[in-house]
Amino acid sequence: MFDSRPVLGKLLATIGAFFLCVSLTAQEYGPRDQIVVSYKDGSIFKGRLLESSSYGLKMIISTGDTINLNTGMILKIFDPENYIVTKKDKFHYRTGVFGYGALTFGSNKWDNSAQIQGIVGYRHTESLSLGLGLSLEGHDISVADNWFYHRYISSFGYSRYYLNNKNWRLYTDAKMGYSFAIDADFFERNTSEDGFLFQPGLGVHLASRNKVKMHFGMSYLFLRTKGQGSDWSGDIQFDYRVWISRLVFSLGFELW
Amino acid sequence: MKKHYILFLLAFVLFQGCIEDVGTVKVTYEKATAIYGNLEALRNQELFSQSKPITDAGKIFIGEDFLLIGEEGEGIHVFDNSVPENPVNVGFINIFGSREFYLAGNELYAESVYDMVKIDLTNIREPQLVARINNAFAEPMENSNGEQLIGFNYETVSEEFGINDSRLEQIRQSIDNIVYLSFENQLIPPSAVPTSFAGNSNGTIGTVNRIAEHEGHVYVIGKSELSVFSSNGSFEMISQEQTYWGEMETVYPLGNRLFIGTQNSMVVFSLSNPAKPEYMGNYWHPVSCDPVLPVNENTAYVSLRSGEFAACPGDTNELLVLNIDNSSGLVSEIQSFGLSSPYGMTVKGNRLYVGEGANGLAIFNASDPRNLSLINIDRSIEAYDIIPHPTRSDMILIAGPEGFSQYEIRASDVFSFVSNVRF
Repeated sequence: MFDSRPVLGKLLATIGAFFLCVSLTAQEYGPRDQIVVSYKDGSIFKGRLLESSSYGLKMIISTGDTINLNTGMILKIFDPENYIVTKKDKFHYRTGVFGYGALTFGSNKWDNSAQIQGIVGYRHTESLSLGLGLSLEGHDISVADNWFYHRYISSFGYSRYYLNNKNWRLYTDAKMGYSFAIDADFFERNTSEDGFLFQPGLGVHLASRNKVKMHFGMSYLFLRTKGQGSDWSGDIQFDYRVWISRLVFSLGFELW
Repeated sequence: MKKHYILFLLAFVLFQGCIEDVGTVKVTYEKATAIYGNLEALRNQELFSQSKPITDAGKIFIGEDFLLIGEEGEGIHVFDNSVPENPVNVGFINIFGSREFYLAGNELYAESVYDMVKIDLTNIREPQLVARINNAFAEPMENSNGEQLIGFNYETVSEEFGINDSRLEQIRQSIDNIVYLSFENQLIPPSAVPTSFAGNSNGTIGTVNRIAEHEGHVYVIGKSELSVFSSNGSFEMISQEQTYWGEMETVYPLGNRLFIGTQNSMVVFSLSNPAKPEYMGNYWHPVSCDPVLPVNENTAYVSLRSGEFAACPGDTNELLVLNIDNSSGLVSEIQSFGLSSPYGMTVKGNRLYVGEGANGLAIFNASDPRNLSLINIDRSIEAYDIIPHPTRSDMILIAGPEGFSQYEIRASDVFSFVSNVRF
């Protein structure tokens, strides 16, 4: 009979690590009377709102100057507490919950990998986001010119740290968790075992005018696994313990 | 800015080419080490010697009152079987390197590494070498000391390497090295069935033979070469032809036909000119080991087995009933039965028996040879091969993991154990 206790234990440990990180991190909020206005000519004005009417807005900007903005030229008014406005009316979210999905493809000198990942998380500060994720992944492993195929469902904790607030936000991120082998390969030539997963990376998060934001990234995947298999003739038996090491490229979308 | 991204992507691709997985691999394999020796001395060794225990049984031939049991790579044990309840080991025929043999009348034909030999067994206690055709299958390979390659030693070796160690590739190449491949490809390969029947003195032929005699000709199959020898008068090679229907495994002559089982087809040759078999037709099937049992010139049974032997790859385990159209040579399937692990087979009366190895013995009703029906699978008997007793109609003989066993056939397809030669 299948014993679910070890699996549940690893999942609970992942969730626990996530909430521990959340509780240890200080919170940041922007001043409440500030606004950011994006103008049709591409200008962005940040400051304190003094007055608003059907003709326009009156606000004090950071230089201390008071300016009047024409309603007809205003594209969007943002609350700077929740948004980072970058170019015209393109923006990033500063706070709140996010959902993220990505496809990754990678390889090393001999082998290939693919992952479908889904993450749900929380923008804990302007720079730091934390989350939990699942991924379905396949990796092949070459042993003396014999390719063995491994597939996993991985659960992991996720963290992302933004390095700037530009239109293309550069960030570093990392996934750490546990991968559960789901079956042997198609030809049943090899076995596959569960193992530890760690995947640090770098990425770029593109601002957009709507909720959907595109990401590009690259990361380095480490996955510990074991397997047993034989060559096609069955003459040579392999019993291998491997850190799957791959450089992977990802294309992802943040959905809200 | 675009230049930066292109450079970044280029670096990404280049860097990928430098990364490798990290880890260790324990490799377990059969290490083949060439054995060199004096071939002439082996050819001239004493033909008949004292009996010795069976250690690695191969082919079995059932005479009226004697048994021949092959010792893989060494020769043939001779048993007096005049009392089936108590077969007696009476001597050993030394045929260096031999694994396959066939007995036609009193003439024994056997392969001996590079050679083909003919031995007169009129008196089983005093066999006489009639002829030896030296280098019938290949020219001997020699080392720098002038010694001839006479075989390989095999040992199971386990070694641990880094996952990217270049020595891993060398292991693969050492197993498939040129000398080994050349030796194995040119000579008569071992059978994929651990032990099986060559035939009996009543003319029944085994279904997993590589050597068979028919109307004055001996047919021998290598992996891809069909050799024909004359067996009447002078013993000599008539022809040696390359075939192209997959790796050959079994040969069975019947009437005017020669049936050859290969790993992926059953091929039918016409023996209108027995010295030069002529291709008629073939039936392609999934890769597997496939003993062939023709019951007449129009009907043949083929058992397809995959599994525990590396020589039998694939996932097919079934019995096929095939039709051979004599005018066109077309071969087509009439029936198929899913089985567990079919090895050798035989027909006795209106029954077809198929050895299923550890999975028992399948018994078919073959009253109509082209419309079989499965009666039973007797799982109490483990059978690699099966053959009728040459003289006693109430006896059936079985080669299995426990050795050679003799059974009496009782009513309703029930077998009663008589004796066993354990090996």
